[in-house]
Amino acid sequence: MTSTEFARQSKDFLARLDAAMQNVPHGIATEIRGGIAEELEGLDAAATAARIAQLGDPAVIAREAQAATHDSDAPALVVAESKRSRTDTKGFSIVAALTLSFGGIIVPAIGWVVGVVLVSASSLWRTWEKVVAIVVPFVAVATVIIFGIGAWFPAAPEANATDAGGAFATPAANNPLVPTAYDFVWTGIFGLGVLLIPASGLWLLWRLRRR
Amino acid sequence: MTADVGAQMRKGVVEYCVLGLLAREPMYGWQLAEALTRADLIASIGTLYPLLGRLRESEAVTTFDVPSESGPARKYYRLTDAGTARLAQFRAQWTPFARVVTGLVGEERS
Repeated sequence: MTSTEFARQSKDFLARLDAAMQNVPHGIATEIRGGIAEELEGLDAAATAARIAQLGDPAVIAREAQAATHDSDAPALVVAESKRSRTDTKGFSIVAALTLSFGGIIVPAIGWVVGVVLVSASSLWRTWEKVVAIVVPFVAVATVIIFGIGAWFPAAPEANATDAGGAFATPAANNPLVPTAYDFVWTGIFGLGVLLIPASGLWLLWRLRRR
Repeated sequence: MTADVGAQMRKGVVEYCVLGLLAREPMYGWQLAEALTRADLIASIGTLYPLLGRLRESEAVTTFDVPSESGPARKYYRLTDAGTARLAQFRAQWTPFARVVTGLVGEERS
């Protein structure tokens, strides 16, 4: 059996598990799936088959998870039920991701901050996912602005050198066809608000699938 | 009936067994599931995660991610101070409790 077939086998198992866990509380189902997925990924073919055999029937896993969740005899369950937070729900996380994506467009800056707070409060994403979604757009724009300005402006004196007067009489900064630092900064901010931040929120939505 | 007694006993102690395992070292879900399944305390990984969820909600355990070279980051569980205190409380009660029960029910003669 090839590694591709084992990858498919692993994917099939997770798909059957997802189907079986439809009635398991969402947060618990996410934890179980995540725990199994992290164990199956990166294994070689033989180890994958062994793990899947060891896991057994997904329907049994789901049934036991459901029983353990609803078992009123377990004393700690009272704590779990009463403390289950609204932030554990998929609906909350979807609202959080959409607010992060588009909140800043509707209410500049403040909408995005609200999105960050909501995303941070959700328990359905891992910490690294939240950090990537919040920080990466800014790092990307800062990088583009810094390197853009750095790469462009050393060339400006050369452009001036070819000037008809042979001197720097007409600075490139005054040429409307030559972008200025101001242009880089505003293009970066526009790209951040309209493209990168919405994309980061949509990426979080994509990460929510099957959770 | 015997099976029910066993199930009730497992249900009563499995949470503390998880705390005991995590007192030794932080562990990820699969590791815990293997240890508990081997000891016949849970039937499958499906029983473990609701239990871990309860322990996390009650702040007896907390989680952290460890990057993995072969796959996604692994979520590890470790004991908190509250979990350590709860385990200590259980340990203090378990030994006298087990001694009392053994004294009352006696041991099976071979």
